[in-house]
Amino acid sequence: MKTNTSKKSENIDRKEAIKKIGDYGKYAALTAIGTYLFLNPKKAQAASPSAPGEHF
Amino acid sequence: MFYLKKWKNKTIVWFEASNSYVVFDHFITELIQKLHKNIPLFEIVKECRFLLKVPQRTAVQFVLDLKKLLHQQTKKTEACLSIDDDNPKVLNVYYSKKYYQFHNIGISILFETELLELLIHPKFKHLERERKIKAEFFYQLYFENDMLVFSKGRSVVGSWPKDEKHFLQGKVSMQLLVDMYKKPEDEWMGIFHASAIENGKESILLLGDSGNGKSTALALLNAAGYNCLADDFVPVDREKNVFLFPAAISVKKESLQTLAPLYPELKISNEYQADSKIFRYLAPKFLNYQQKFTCKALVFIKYDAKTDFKMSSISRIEAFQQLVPDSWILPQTKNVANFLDWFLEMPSYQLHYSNTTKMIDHISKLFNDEL
Repeated sequence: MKTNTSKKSENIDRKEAIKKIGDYGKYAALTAIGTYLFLNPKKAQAASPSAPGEHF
Repeated sequence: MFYLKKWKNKTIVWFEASNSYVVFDHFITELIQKLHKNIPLFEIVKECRFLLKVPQRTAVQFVLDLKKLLHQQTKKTEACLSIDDDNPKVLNVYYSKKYYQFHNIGISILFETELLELLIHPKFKHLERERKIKAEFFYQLYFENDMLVFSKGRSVVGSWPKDEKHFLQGKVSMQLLVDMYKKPEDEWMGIFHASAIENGKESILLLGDSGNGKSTALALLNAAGYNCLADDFVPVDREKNVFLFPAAISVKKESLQTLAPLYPELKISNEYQADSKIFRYLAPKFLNYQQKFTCKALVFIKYDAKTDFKMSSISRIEAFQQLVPDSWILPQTKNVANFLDWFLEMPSYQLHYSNTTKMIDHISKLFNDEL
């Protein structure tokens, strides 16, 4: 089987950019909010969902 | 109100009110800043038209969307209602009382019911002391008004509905962390849903969704000579050091065959079930509370039976997307700045494996700067 260790560029390609950020030339008419990358961290410290105790 | 961090051709904006991180192109951030400064809309639309080379109508829509976004992310949300008060229930009848030793700190936890014990005890069973030790801190877990309640001493730390047990578990872990290191919550940069190992000098964080094989990789690396720092709950302080969190490693049933030859104790340890997953707990081999470690890299790991081994660098945007939703990051501007500085300097990799020897070998190479 193939073993592969490679380095990828920091720059994302065009397709990814359109998907994640939105292209501000051709795609400016798209709804702005839906095309930006929104991330919400956890509201509090949490255990993994698979921690024991599902019997409640 | 919001914090901006420029990074290559993007800007990461953290909105304090919503605790959201949003990645924008620089020019959008500039428009947002202008909107925030109440520069007249027609001027912003004009600039937008010029920058985007779009018709007036599109530019107006674009700017209005940005204005809406800014409003939504900066409006104050109402404080959450809580039943917390400073009068914890006095538990005269309870299921169990346990004593744990975290380094040189004794902590007693009183569990009102067996189910509450099951939420916390199995992960710390290896730190339990049979003989009553001198406890410095006293915790209680109980039910009140159909809520899960966690109290410490004479104060209620928090309460959660039954379906938010993972937040109770997280809060107990956080309180244990605060008490065992005598370091208040606001001195921690964040808690990461990861596994962490160290080689005596530096640490590496293994990240990924639940079920991706973080804990199995951690146990394999632990057996290969790397010390386990934490499983599932990785604390990093504001000086950007990774600390030990001594909870047991959770080993899924599917990994037993791989790990049992390395850890014979797994064959006889108790089995637990959660979310239709069956697993056992494995006590980390060596607990080094004394040292803290800088983080060398983030590795997003996935066990994949179809892939022998594949490892590559991933972009920060990809890493950021995977890291943030699974993390708790202290929501204070100074800390967010600290976190972003830390993250943006951090090399990030993606590793898919079924060949455990190659996985261990490449993590070793990563530690030794041989990649």
